[in-house]
Amino acid sequence: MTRWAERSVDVPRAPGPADGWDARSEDPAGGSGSGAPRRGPADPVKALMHQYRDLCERAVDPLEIAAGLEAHGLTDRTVARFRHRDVFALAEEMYARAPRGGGDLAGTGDAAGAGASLGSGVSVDTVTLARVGTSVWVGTSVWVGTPARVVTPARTATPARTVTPARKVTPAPPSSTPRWALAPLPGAACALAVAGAALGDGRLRLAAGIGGALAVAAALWIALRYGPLRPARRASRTLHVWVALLLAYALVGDELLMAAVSGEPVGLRPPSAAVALVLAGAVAPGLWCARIFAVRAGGRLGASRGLDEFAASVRPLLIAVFALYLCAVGALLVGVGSLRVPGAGATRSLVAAGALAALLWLGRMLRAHGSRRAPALVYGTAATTQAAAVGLVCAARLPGRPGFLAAPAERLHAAGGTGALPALVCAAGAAVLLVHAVRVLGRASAHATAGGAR
Amino acid sequence: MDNRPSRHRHVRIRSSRCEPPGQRRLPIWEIGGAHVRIGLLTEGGHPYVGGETGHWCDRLVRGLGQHEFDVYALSRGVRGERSGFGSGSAFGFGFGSGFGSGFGSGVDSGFGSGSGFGFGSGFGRRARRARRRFAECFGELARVLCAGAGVGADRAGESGGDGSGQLADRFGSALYGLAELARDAGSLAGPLRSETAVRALEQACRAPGASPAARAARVADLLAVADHLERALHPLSLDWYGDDALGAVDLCHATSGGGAALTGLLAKHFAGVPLLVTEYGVRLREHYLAGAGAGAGAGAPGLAVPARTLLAAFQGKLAAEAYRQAAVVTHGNAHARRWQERCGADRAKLRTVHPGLPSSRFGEVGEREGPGDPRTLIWVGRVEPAKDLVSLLHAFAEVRRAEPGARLRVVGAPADGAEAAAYHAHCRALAAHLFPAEADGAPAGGAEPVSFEEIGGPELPSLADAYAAGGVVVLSSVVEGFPVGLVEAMFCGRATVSTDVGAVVEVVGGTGLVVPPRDPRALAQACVALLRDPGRRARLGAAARARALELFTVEQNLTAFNGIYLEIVSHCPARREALNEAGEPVPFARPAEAYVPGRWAGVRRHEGTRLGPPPGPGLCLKPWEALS
Repeated sequence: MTRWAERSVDVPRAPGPADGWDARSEDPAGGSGSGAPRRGPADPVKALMHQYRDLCERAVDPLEIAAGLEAHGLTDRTVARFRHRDVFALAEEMYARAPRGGGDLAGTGDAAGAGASLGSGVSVDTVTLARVGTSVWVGTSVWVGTPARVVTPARTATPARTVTPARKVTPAPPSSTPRWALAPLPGAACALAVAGAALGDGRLRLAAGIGGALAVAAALWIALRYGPLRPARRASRTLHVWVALLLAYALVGDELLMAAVSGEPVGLRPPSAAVALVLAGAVAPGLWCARIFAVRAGGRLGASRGLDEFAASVRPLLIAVFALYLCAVGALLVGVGSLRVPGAGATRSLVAAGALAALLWLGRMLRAHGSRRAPALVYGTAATTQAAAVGLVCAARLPGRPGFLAAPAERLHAAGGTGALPALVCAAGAAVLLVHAVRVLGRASAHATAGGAR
Repeated sequence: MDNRPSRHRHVRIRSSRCEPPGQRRLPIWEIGGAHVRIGLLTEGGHPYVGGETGHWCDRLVRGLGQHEFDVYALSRGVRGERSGFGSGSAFGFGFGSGFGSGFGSGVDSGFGSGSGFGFGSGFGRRARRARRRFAECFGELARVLCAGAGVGADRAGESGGDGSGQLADRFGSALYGLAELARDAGSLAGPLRSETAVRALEQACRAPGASPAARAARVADLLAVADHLERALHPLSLDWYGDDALGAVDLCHATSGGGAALTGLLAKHFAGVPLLVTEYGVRLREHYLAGAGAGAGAGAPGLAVPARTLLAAFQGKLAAEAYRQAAVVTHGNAHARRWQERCGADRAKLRTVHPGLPSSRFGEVGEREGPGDPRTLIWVGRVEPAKDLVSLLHAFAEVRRAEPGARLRVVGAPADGAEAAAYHAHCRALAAHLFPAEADGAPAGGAEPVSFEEIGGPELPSLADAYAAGGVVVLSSVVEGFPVGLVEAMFCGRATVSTDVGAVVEVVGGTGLVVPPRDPRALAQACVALLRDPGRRARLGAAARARALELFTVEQNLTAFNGIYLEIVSHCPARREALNEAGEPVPFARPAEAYVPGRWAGVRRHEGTRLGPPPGPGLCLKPWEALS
């Protein structure tokens, strides 16, 4: 195997257009058919190339080889032995004689799946590099005349380094593995709090509720701060206000609206435990789905050869992941609905909670990929609509106020029952955000922090 | 307009000198001297630059008291900026944050704002025009990088062919176009990471003239290139180029290539300030080595070939443009000079300014009559594999065979890192193996043939004592840049034996013995020759000290830079409109003769046209203008 490799590589030539595994690989006898004259057996540059073949293969231009050679201690005086004026001239010869992987890369269009499994998606040419490395550079120093005189220090005469594509292929282990395993924490904390509140009463219930809320908030902060849904940029304060409004409405808003419509006194009410369970429980599938999306998109980033191709492959992925998330939330809804917790009876409130979870997930996904304005806009619209509905209904009950202001909300309430309004608003918001996310997350630049930094 | 980049977690950029005028150090006025205001551009934050030249900039600023320095530091992170503000130094500082890890991906778009843009993300005509200009300029830049990848970087200056010259012009125009855009429309951090930039890169890579390596680029490569370009082009977004900052200095002194040189280029473009580039380590070479190190390092995967190709093309083009626009380019040794010539620097602009080392602490040892222990070899340095102590130990074994009474003292701590520590242990083990304890012949009291010591012990309280302890100083490195230890030994008046690496021959000249690297036998022969000949040792030591005092002192470094400053301000002054006290332009403040082309002190005509900021036909200056 080694002999034909030597013979085929010995002739100086321009880097071939085909890949490293071309005709001469199959045909050992006629590797260089033109019959070009061999160099003499004492081709010192060849031994040098063998010694630095890693460098030669990696180099993108002669200067890189020159820099690498100098870093290994070659100077212009030692280069004279290779019949060159200076290191640059030697590097140019080495660059010209080194086999290139570039032409191979340009030619293959079907290797799209090769990098798909890579988490980082940066090194995509490993397969071809490995092939070039093994086919051409195996044991070329066998018959070189004076290998001992080539700059091989006694200390560095370690066994010749081999191309190790395996090192490049193994993706870096995801750094957030232990953290995104913490995803179920908010749901668990909320479940514990609800259970505690259900068992006790009075003061104990209050304590359980407050403690549970704090625990859920802490768990949520940890999960979202370090998980795959970490926002690329800090949120504005208004965004926090909108999210707080949305959550508050989901927890107590339906009761308020019902009281306002039916004319009961509007007062402080305990939040709906079922909705809290749904929202806290939806964090875990949200994190996992985001993780799936990030990993898959990262793989496609490395595999795609063009931006359009990438967009075409990522957009269906986003929709599929979103559908997966919806399924998970749906299962959660069914589970919570079958429990005997306060608020579980109102089906539409639960559906509204599910829609809100979808809305928040999409907004969080967008923020994790650098988009900040669209989530704030949609959150703000949804929260304002819900607050306005309650406010208008309450305002219509004041003496001397026109009643028609509350008519739409009341009519919706009469037609759809409790929870119809938030379900509608959140679903509409989620739809808008989904359309926007399909547009934005299909851009490669949205994945730059994920793909470029890692 | 406020051009500050809005990335969070970065300290605010102080736009110009931090200290109020009252707290600034008054320059020393001398009769007949010239007062030059210098914008010192550094990278790596405060204090100045790192690397083997250490506090070179600090010495420059403090040593040239007759000039005024405004230090503009591009910092790599938050830490450097914090330390900078507390220093209370006597000169002005400007800080720019950049080169940190990037946050945010610039997709901050609302509904309808096209492609995720900075520039206010507006719908207005200005924002649209800015977006279009950005797409044009960045597309041009990307096309140049793709077309010149692999061929342009190395040939830019040497071949001087039409193609590479044209590419260099296109690169410059694209770069300055982007800079003007950043000045007019705000920070480029968002646009450079936007979809527009990535798409422009993709189109350039797929264009007909692109190099094969660029054509193979995938989406991940494009993103990586955009990310790196954003960091490299960060100086474009700084607001340093106004009349109250770099526009007011007489010359810009970039202390390295890369970002600092880019800042100087922009100052030259916007304000016509002449540029001096000093490279003690060639930035392009460091870029290649860093890329190789990142690729070979375990863990983080390096960039793929297409991305590295484009980035190397960018660095090469940037270096070529800096060399082309600079009035003077200096380097520390012939090796750096060759790289600069290779990257397209005009030989007429190149000056060698050797690094200066403080020599006073070696003065006492150097002046002392008695040379140290005549049978002791000294090796001083940080123990690491590049120093090749193994060869030295093998050589010393041969020395011992010829001169049984010889000793070798290895002075130095292991360098940082596990590898260096392991190497240190390996060397000690090898020494113990080569020179087993000779119970019979060895005199008592720590006179074993090979000893490993560190500075600071009772025997060797200072570095000078280490050199004073022996008669011959040995350097056995296989890789070396500027050999600081060798220069210190020369300051101490010691005869030296060194390997022929890096700038050793240039430093030693004829005042020491030089042997091939990785050749223990030659090293041993040279050492034995010196050990046996005290007269030669003394002669070589005296010559070495004289040479070092002439070439490698701080004073010569300062003098050289002072001369270069004066040369630059006299040959290509930054021409500004003269203002009176009220800030109004004064007509005819500069006499008309100042603009008449003419020859001055033998400088060639074409050089003047290239150096002068406006496209004037020749070199023009007045003596009082240079001295004002």
